Amino acid sequence: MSQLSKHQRETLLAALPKLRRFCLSMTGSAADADDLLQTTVERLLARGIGADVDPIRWAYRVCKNIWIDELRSKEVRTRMSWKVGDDTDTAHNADDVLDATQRAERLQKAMAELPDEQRMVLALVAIEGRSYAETAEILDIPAGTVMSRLARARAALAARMHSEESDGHD
Amino acid sequence: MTESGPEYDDILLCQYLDEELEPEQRSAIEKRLQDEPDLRERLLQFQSVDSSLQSTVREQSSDDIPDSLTALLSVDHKQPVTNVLSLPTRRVSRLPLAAAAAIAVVSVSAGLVWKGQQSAPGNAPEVLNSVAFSTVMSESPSSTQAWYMLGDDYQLRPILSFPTASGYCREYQLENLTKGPDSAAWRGIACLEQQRWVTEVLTATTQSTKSQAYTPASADGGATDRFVAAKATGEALSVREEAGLIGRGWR
Repeated sequence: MSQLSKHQRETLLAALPKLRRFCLSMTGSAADADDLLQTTVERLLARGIGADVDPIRWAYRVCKNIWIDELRSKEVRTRMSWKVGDDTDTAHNADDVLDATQRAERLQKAMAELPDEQRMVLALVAIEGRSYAETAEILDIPAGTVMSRLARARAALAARMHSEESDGHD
Repeated sequence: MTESGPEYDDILLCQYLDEELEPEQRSAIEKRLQDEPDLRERLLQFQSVDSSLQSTVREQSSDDIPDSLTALLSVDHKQPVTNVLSLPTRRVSRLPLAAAAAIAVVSVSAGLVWKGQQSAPGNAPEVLNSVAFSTVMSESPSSTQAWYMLGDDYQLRPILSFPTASGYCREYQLENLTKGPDSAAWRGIACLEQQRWVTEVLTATTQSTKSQAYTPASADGGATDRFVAAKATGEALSVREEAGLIGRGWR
């Protein structure tokens, strides 16, 4: 297979914003997300997409594989903004309520601490609105694994958020 | 995992939240939610997590896809782009410019060098003055494999970008796809002047570009090398630098 069909290219073009959001969910940084997205598109152009598969799901899968197998191992993640390491940024005085910004920062930290496999399931289901069956197909895992990873991811984030909110009120 | 306990309930709540339950399962969990405050609280926690996640990603994300990326999918590729290098760590243009230029040479020169934008001597193509040429030069990333069509008769491949004192120049390959006496291939360098890509150096080559066999830069008589040596003010641009410039319209 040497190239994408016109329909496949148009489908991917329309899906680029969603794919980019998935890349951002994976990498946590806009720059790394753009790198990942470009590599994904180039890989799709180079290797093509089978006529009998959904181009968007296939693109998600290629994107996931590139992140897991290639970019992540090159320590692109050292630039991850999910990893908000400087807690001084989140310091707040006693009168502070848990405003949206602080909450987002805490969520980002918690997201960064999730294992990749849980973060990917969470991104596809909770952010992208993919069904369990689609997510299972994209990640090439059983639907039952999707469910257990998703529950663990949400539980971990909920625990982290709840814990920090409690600390904030002490 | 048994079908009871906190972990099982978490999975059930996720399925409820994601609308993955069968009607009877949904009714059952809704009944439990009415009766069990802890379960309701857990569901609210999960909903809160999802809501925060969605708003956080929405704030960080943008629908503005880089033009270079859109161009990749918009243009009909003649060949797969297996070696389009996107990561700085894999980028040949991090080589010193002369070395990168040497790698970029893909054909044997027939010796014709064309300078300037005035009417083309010999068989230098008018397509160099076309909007399509300028569009590809402005919007398409450098590549070692991808071709961009200029109408039905020509294909163009930007292969390198570099800074000069007055702006930026790009080295490219051009091929005439028609068969017959006008069949030809070129290697050139165009520089951005008042928002137009003006070809400064053009070297006619054999059509051996299609073989993708790289030959030394000296094979073209050194015309492009001499231009690069005289004009370049730094290393060839990295993918990220080039993508940034493409996104900003080379400003």
